[in-house]
Amino acid sequence: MRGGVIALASAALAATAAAWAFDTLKPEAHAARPAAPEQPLSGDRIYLTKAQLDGAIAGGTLDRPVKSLLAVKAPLHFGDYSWDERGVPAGSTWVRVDLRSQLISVFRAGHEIGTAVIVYGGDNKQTPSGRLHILGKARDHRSSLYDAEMPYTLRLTDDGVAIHASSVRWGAATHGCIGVPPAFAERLFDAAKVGDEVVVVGRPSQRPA
Amino acid sequence: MSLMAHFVRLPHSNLARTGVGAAVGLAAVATLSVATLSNPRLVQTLGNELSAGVQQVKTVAAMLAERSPGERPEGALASLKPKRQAMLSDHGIPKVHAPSPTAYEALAGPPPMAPVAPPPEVPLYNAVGASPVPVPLGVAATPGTSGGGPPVLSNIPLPGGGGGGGGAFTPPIITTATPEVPQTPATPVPEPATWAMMIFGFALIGRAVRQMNIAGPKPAFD
Repeated sequence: MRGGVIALASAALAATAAAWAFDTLKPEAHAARPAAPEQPLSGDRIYLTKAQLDGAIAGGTLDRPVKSLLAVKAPLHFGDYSWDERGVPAGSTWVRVDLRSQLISVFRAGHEIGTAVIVYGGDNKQTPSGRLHILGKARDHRSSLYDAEMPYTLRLTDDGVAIHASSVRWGAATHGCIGVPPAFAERLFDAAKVGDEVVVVGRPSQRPA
Repeated sequence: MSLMAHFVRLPHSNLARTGVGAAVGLAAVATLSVATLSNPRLVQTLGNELSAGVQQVKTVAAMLAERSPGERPEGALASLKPKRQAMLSDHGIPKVHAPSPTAYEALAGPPPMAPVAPPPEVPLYNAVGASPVPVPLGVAATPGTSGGGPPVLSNIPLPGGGGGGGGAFTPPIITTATPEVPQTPATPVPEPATWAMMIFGFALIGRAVRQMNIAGPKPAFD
């Protein structure tokens, strides 16, 4: 009986000590991860390995080096977004818009700082694809053509195609603009400046039939 | 516990030793599991390490596809809002609604073809003319029952008919036929009595509201 009690107590002690030691040693273990060459940022991120990056550039998913992506736990629904720029250093900002997957991603200094579900141009008013640049910003824009509020407008083309806040819902489309959720649009408006690059990929009309 | 006590009472038995050893081993494993699972950081870290290992195998395209709501369906689901000009042209046209049948019409079916004029042998308003039809005293309160007028749709005696008495009392016509649809359609303009009743009602409401305003506290926005 006595031996059993002692064994039980020592097992419990060992388990507790192991858990405590793991907590204490965890930062060192985390820093020693080989996939993160830099000081890891706070928040949930996925650091791309060299093979992943090379594969993404070779496959056309990315056109420039990217260090990390936001770790989005579940599929985003219409109107959802994720934004985390904690610890991301200052640097060049660019935006990737994927029409096929209906996603926008904002990168700064190689790290993804925001992503959201978008709505884009309908079949008869398609969103232009390619490398565009932000030509102008307007926080409280009102479209005279469509008589609609378009807050946080980032104008992309001379004929009015822009990224702006919109009601992002299933089954909706725009006249060529890229609509993002209003809260996301505000953050993007503050993060982007005139001249930043916007890469629009995955135009549905370019899909193989 | 009683099992343990039973084994402990026989310290030299091999069975007891085996039992104690097994119990201790089980307890150690259980304690370790509980200690591990009760540490949320440890569990989370284990999960993160596992998922990080999985993420390093995936391609970037696969990771982006995982967060995507999917491709947009073709064509019909991509609804566009109409331009303002198109909406304005719609606004200028008043909407025309077909008259909907009333509840009575829906129950009674289509109205029968009503004759334009009443039957000539029964003049309707002769009772107030110069030569009134002799009406018995007891039935005078209900002029519709006099002479050859429309049948009375009732199974009960008319009020006043029984009390008046007299030899001239005619028993009320009792009919069990289905009620006829009134042949003269209701005029859209209300009768003067209806007008008077409505105006009286409004006056009554106004008086009540005025009294409430006098009695109660005045509203702040007044």
